[in-house]
Amino acid sequence: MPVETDRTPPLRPLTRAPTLGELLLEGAEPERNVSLRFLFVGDDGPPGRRGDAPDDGVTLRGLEVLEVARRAAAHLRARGVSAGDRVLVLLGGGPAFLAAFGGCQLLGAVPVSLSPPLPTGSVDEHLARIGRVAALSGAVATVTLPEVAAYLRLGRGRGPGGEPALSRIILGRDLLAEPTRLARPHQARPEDPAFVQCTSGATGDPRLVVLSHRALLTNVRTIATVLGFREGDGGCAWLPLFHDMGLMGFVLCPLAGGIPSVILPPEVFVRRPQEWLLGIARYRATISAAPNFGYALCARRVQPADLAAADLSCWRLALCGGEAVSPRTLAAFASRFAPMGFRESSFLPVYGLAEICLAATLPPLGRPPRIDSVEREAVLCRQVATPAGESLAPAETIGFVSVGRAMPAHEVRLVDAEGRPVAERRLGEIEVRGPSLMNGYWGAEAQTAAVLRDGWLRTGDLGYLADGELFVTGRHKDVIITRGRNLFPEDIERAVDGVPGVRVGRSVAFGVPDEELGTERIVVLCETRLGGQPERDRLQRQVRVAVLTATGMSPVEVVVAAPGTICKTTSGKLQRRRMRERYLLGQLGPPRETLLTRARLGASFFLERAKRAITRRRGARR
Amino acid sequence: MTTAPSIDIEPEMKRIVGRLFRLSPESIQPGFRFVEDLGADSYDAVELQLAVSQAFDVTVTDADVPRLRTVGDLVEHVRRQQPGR
Repeated sequence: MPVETDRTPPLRPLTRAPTLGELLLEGAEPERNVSLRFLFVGDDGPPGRRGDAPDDGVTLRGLEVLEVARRAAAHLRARGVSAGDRVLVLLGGGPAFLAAFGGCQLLGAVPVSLSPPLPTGSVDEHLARIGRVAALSGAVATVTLPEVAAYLRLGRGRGPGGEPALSRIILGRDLLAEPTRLARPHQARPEDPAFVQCTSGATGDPRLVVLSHRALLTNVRTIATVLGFREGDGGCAWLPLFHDMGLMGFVLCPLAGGIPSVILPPEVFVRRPQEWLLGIARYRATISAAPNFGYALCARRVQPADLAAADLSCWRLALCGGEAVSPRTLAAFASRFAPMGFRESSFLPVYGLAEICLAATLPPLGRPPRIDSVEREAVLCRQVATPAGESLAPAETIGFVSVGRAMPAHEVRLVDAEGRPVAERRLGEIEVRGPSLMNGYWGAEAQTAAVLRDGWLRTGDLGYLADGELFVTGRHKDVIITRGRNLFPEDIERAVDGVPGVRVGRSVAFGVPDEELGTERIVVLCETRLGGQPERDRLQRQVRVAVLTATGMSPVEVVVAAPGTICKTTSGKLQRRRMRERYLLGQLGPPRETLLTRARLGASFFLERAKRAITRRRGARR
Repeated sequence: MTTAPSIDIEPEMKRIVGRLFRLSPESIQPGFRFVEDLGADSYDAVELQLAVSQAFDVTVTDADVPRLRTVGDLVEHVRRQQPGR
């Protein structure tokens, strides 16, 4: 078996830079081995640096990375941005993203990163969100693509009060073309905000996660240490850079650890997933990462002929995170690509979230994923993950994938509905603590206080510990996570409300795990008074189109129901979780046995918590 | 535009499209456009490409995709690659 030999290459020295600006300056030194290759950049590279072949890309090495950042910083300053200002970055990736991000660091400005509108989505919906983020963060400038800039200039991106929140609009390519350079970089303090990433609030409102230089550098240094970055290592991924896994995993980690990195645009991966694997083989990458669906897509979609003689034996670490990790996906991927040299022991299922920069836990390297098979009934009804005995039928068991232990200097614990730590194999809410935690949510003290207590972050995710390793079983938020992207049910429901024939305010959206797709399937349930089958068929199609237009993603299933089907609370709130449960029980569509268990885990735990909270409140009143 | 679609291929295509988009196969019309009428996103396009290639044992390349805007286009594409049927 071709595993590690005794001649393990030496580890790479990690950066000691206290800030991201220092990290860029340090990266200019040749021995830091900095090299970022952007594939399929087309015209989006620095002037005169277009790749000849489309997949050859543009490579920026040490000093060139710093140069790009220096020019971008000069451009931003000339456009009125100064230290401490927030700058909205609406770019998918590529050298322009690097310029905007690095330019802000040298200038002491804080990049606020958000996905640009998707080609298939509605620009208006997305612009409203951009406007909210701009207003909330008080951004003074926006860096984006020409086509997005055209819309922003029309003044459509406005804050909640209708005020134009997007004032100075700067094109990413102008940052790259700037002829002058910033001479003296800003001296930031390690605790200063270095980066703001957007995540979801409980009601779909954006939350701005403020990460300090110290938190970011601690997280990427810890990841590089645990992964054992060494001579000969290299990254290759297709993740967008507005996503933490892309930016921190494949730009900041490589800069901090002194290993080269190759980055493909996500849209290339979606069309031709084999490009990811071909990139790994071609550039002899050793480290890559993707959400579960990326592995699932390859396992189903990539044919051996697409890979020709590609050799994946170089791939020593295949991280999988960002959404639920499915044992079935890992097995399917491993068996399909074993003939090309992929090893199952390369898999590293991980757990993390935006509030802790990127990663919180990692399993030990070099072992196949640990799957814990537990009794379905015990996990569902008694909140205990009892190991499944030999005598149980497969339908009576359920498998969860270990995401390992807390990284060094970080802690993970599980607490019950009262906030008390629970015993091993008892289900609880996951809390994490450590030096990579965010400073807080920008401009939202109450929300920050609600999730950060005594240094512990309440994640809202559920799981259990077994032999000290974490198993994630579900979550309680209504957010739908599909293909590594968070969607808000409110946004989908608003779009569905606009379809003629749908009863306004009488539709719900939720996500259910889909083993075949390897991600969550979006389900929309909507009420209508239309009775005829042709009208209902038309409604289903129109709802699909409306959701696609609003979010850029289509719901995979639209369930049309009679008036009165959807439950609301007495205060008029939609009961999404209850409708989801009814759907999974087959009361609204086909029964889904395997989905049911995974999906129900979240609900019962938080129901229990709510009950106890009510009991407590009653007790206090007595 | 499509000519009269093959009798064998069309019902099977409706089944595939219906299963993928979770719509009733009988409601699928050849004139339906994938994006504008059926709400297909870029992942659906990839799934459809795969499902059609497997079901009919034909090739649907990335270069074909932009031309194949409707269900009927796809039926015609398959028919042309299956001259015997």
